[in-house]
Amino acid sequence: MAGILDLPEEIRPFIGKFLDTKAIQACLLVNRSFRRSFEPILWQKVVIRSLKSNAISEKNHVFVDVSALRTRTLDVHNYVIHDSVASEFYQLSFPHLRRLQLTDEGLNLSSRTAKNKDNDFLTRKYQRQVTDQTQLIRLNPTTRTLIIASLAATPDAEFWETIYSTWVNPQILHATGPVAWTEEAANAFWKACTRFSELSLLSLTIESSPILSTLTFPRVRHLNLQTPSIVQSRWLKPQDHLVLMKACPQLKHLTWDATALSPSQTFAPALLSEFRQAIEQNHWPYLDSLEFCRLYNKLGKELVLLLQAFPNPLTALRLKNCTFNSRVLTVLKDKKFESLKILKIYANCGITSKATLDILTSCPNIEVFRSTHIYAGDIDPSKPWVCKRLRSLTVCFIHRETASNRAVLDLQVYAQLAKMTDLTRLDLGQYSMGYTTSDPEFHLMDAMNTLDLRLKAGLGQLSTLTKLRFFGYANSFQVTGQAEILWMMENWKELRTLIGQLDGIERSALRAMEARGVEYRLCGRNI
Amino acid sequence: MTVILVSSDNQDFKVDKEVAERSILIKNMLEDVGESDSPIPLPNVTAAVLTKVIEYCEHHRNDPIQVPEETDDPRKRSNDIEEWDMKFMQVDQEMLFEIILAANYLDIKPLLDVGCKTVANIIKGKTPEEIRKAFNIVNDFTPEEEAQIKKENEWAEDR
Repeated sequence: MAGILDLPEEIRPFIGKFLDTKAIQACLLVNRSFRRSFEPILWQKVVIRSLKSNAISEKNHVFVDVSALRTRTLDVHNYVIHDSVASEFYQLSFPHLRRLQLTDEGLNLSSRTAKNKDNDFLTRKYQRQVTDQTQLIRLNPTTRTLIIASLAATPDAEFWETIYSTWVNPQILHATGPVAWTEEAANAFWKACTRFSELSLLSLTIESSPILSTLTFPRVRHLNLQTPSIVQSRWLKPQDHLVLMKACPQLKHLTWDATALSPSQTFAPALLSEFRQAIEQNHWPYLDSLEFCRLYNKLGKELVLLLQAFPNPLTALRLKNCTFNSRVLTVLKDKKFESLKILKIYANCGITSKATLDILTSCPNIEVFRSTHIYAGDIDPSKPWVCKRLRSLTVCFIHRETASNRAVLDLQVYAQLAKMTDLTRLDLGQYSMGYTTSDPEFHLMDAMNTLDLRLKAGLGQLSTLTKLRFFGYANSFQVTGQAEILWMMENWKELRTLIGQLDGIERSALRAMEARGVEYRLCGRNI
Repeated sequence: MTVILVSSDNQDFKVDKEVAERSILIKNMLEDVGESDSPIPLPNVTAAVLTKVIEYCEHHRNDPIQVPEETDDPRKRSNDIEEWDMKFMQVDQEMLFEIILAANYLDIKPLLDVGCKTVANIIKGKTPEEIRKAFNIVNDFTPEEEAQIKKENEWAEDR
């Protein structure tokens, strides 16, 4: 046989799914056979932007030709519309559409919270787009994922009603910002939500709905609720959060991000107490994964009571801006360590270095662990880490300014890390902001005295981490050099991502990384 | 328990049942045939290719069976090929495509993925002319066609 052209047509999409857009565009120009095979892949994701979108300021933005798009509807799996575009882009039916995204980056929120009179004006202004959006929904009932964000042309009742009654198998709904301006639309919105299995409702503004408390959401297993950072009119009130949560009997994972529930709000303690009571009564028998953000800050006692009351095994716990003090740790140790597989404590929770080590030396089944920092001097070699199954660790190792034997302490850190042979991801980067009132232990000055990452400091001991695929140390004030890179290529055969500062690297090291296909970045994305 | 696989050029290969069953096609055949000892003919696979396929299945005999993915993850990475697989795939192009065809016919998804990723890595970063050179392909477009294709598909953003 000759070569690639002899591969049957059905195999070429398998290759195509591994190619980026540039590569596919190049393939289209190779020859006619290639074009036939790879053009459909290019049309899998289509993004339509309008003239006023901010992205247009980038040079060379090219518009999609709607008549070309009409010949390609069978190929489209993912359709994204930014801003308001011509009606024709909404009059399309994509038989294989899985994901639909409607966003409006130009929304000025304050204009929508104006009095009713202005509301009518805006409604008229956006009426065409609202109708168009509803038509698009009607024409694409096989969609599984719907993402709407900041829509100035806020959906009307018919939009949500159409989803509720005609969509075949909806799964994921991500809604940010305004979703319904009238009571009728709000009712239809909640009814539509009952069809989905995953709901992410972020900074929702919605008219009050009398039927919310009468509905059940039987399919919802995954719920993500986030309040806006500033209170607005018609925001989804925290009391309604609880009503919604209680109506999800199959709930497995809950993310609750509620700035507005700070202790200064009078309803906060009552609400958290009600939440805790529902937990106590085992209202959610399948719930095993919790993520709280800005919910228990300075309310550590409440968090303790909640964890004490939690009746079932807890598999995953993530805390951002919530108090994690010694009492919280005690409760977890007492009841939840057996089942805990994922524990992530982000900045501003006030977790101490000793508490972090306590977790590593007593939580047996943990697989993914993130904390802010460990003072190398706190490590006790006689207390080994028991988490044999640890595959992902994110923590910054630092020295106190007073530490005089840093070299010895570094070796101790490496000796302990070397034993975690199941690690696929090791992130020694610095993600906390240094000294804050919520992280009283962590001083910015200490953050500059991080673990030395050079071979001569002990990095070589980590040759035992043969499964490592990700190694990062962003913002750690450390650098690695030529020797370290070559050592990594030699010892970490599965390494595919490296993040952090390099220094004095020669071509040979760069070539080695390229040949292996290692993705390198200076800084991590906001993890 | 062993099974006998017969290549298209009539060579016999004795293989552990567990290894052979990495191929879903063979697995289904064995289930249909039951406890029979008869060799399994594979008319679409030559001995040279079958040798390589068996080598792959032997090495991966203890891998967990992959669950078919329903979600369409557009950011499929092709740079996550294991070290052993990378060395395994260092063959000439003809063998590479033969392995892909065999993996498709025998329904060995992980091997098909690795083969396709390898081809994808050859394509990535190349201009159309470089791709043609890499695979010995002749350009059959007219200049007008080329201009039209460029224009019609310029809009595509990162997937």
